[in-house]
Amino acid sequence: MMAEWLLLAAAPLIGIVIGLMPGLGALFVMLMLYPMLLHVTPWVVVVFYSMIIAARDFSGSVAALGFGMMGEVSAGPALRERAIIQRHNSTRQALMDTMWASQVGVVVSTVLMLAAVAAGATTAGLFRSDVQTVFMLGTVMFLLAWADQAWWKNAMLVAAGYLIGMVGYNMRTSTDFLTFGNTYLVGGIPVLPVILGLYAVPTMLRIANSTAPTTAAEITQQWTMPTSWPSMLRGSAIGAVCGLIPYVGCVITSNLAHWAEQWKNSNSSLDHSLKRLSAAEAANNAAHVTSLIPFIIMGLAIQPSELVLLEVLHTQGVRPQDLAGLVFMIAAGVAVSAAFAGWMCSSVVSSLLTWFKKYYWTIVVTLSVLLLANVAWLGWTSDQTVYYLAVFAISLAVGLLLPRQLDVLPLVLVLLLQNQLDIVLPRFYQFYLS
Amino acid sequence: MRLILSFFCWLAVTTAAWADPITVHIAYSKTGNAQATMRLILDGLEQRGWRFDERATANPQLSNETFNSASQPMLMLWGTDLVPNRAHPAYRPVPTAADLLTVTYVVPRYICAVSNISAEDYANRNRVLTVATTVVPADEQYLTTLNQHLGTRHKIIKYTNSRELEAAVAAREIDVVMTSVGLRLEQQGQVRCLYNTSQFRVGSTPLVTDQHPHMPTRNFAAITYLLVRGLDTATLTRLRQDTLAVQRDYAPYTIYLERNRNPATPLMPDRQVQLIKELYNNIP
Repeated sequence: MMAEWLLLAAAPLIGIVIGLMPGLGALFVMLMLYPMLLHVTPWVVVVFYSMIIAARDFSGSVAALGFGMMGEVSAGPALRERAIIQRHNSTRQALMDTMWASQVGVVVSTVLMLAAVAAGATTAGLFRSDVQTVFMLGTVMFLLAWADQAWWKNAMLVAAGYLIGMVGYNMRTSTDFLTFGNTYLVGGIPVLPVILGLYAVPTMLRIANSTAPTTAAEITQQWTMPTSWPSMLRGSAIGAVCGLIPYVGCVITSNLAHWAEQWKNSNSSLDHSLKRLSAAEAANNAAHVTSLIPFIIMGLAIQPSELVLLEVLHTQGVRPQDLAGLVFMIAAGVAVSAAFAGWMCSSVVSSLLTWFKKYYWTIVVTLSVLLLANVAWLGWTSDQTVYYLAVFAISLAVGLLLPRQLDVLPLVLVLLLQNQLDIVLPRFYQFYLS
Repeated sequence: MRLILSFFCWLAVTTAAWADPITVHIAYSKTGNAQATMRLILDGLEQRGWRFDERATANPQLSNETFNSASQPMLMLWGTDLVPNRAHPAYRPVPTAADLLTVTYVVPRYICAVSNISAEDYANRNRVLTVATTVVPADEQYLTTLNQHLGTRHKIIKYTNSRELEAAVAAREIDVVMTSVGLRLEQQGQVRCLYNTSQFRVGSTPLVTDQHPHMPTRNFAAITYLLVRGLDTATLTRLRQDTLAVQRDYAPYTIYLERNRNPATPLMPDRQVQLIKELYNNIP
């Protein structure tokens, strides 16, 4: 049992590390620890999982704000606000705001989760094909209206994302699509190298060229109150609802909350920027907690990492629904982990910022090398190192050649959702139109 | 000196460890029941001194080509449902006794009622039901054959995998589901299983062929198996013996199969090739 407590104690640190490392998601951590987790008490495994998820979300934003690094699409809003924050030398306030927003998001969604379980609510209706079709089409419409870009530009990006996702062997038809006889293309175009090359790295390079690191003048050890409670609550509400939407919610939530907050706080002042950031951060954390509700109530896995968790439980002959008091354990685990990650990243914020300033380029270069190493490592684990690096290089070239003002996020999000779009829309047709 | 030499001789005889790790290609993605089962077998083998280096390619063609051209010892996880298109370059013919290490997972399909439907209702030509299955072509082919055999016009709705089928059951948007996890759903009180599509009797669920003896496809299930190449005869013999022992005695594996009510354990090696051959006949 001592070893299990140590595992739980290490969970927030593991979460912080995977949040800082692009591509090293919860799925890989769960797979790497799989043989060990088979021998761990089921409730400890579930709490461990919820703790790494809670800590990961916060540290991803720290990397985005501190170094302009983007590990996950959910850190996009932090990157977009970074220029304004840096211009006003307010990284410390932004980090404080993201810490507060994470806590508020976790609290709001945990309350919702407890209420849902206590009320015996079921979210099964959200898995209906017609409901999912509405969500999918709603997401596509949202992306067509993305940013200030012309709708036709967004439509082309959406189509490009869908097309890239289609490449490879299609299990449904047992045929290849746009593989040109290439063996590697049969497995499809790997998503992470495309996202990093096409979107994350070009964005990071632009940021590195246009913003200076934090100045020492603003570095103090004082805790500050959040810029806006209402923004955080609005973000939490959006995130808590989005987290319930199967497959789509967690992918779009922080960008959706950021976009929604722009309606109220639209200018480029620091105040508005921090409010948008707070809303996005709160939404991201809230969504990852409420996305656990179908898992707790019905034993349904939505995220790939949840699937591994479910396999570990099934191997031990346990269903999530059978674990007495599981929701309280998850709630406690999430709260402790988010608080720890927030405390870690915020209480040492002065040291962090001094460190950022002193070793800014060293850290940026190191993290960039790690990012590349991650792509190579992901390729290595699937015996396709050269292919992954080639996809990354080609995507990077395209990303750098694209006009600076073109925001390719619609392409990225559709690429992430392509599998679901490809199956949900034909199913809707089968149900209602055939 | 004699003692030391004896110790090393004893070590050489008893240890099964291969000098370098044996590469294991998984032609599937990283997650899933088949992969979990295979991982348990490898865990059991590692406890007996073997070492493996796992690569999940999610690319059947790449795994197939790498396996066929491997100059080093290699294992590959393959399945009857992976490339069910005989014209596709990644299609693999039925394995032989020489290259089959073992069947890791046998997955019968269960046809289960989500709403209040009996086997008679399912066979009723005047009722049109929504029947959910996965996108695997052989699954749809089987249901189409069953529809034709019974003269029914049930609507077949396709979902990505068994995880999505479970969600569809929870959402109650279908009448009937054909899924590999039917018995588990039945234990949870979510469905009532009407038929087992295979020839493996599991619990009291009737076989399709019990009720409809003239059904053309008599044994329908998916099987995943490990293929092997590049090992010398002595090492291969040891690996086969150890694999059999793991599948028979390694508690995490046997418990997993028992909990999933999976009929892989009783399969003896000589029956395995024959069975895979039989199931390949179901490929459209």
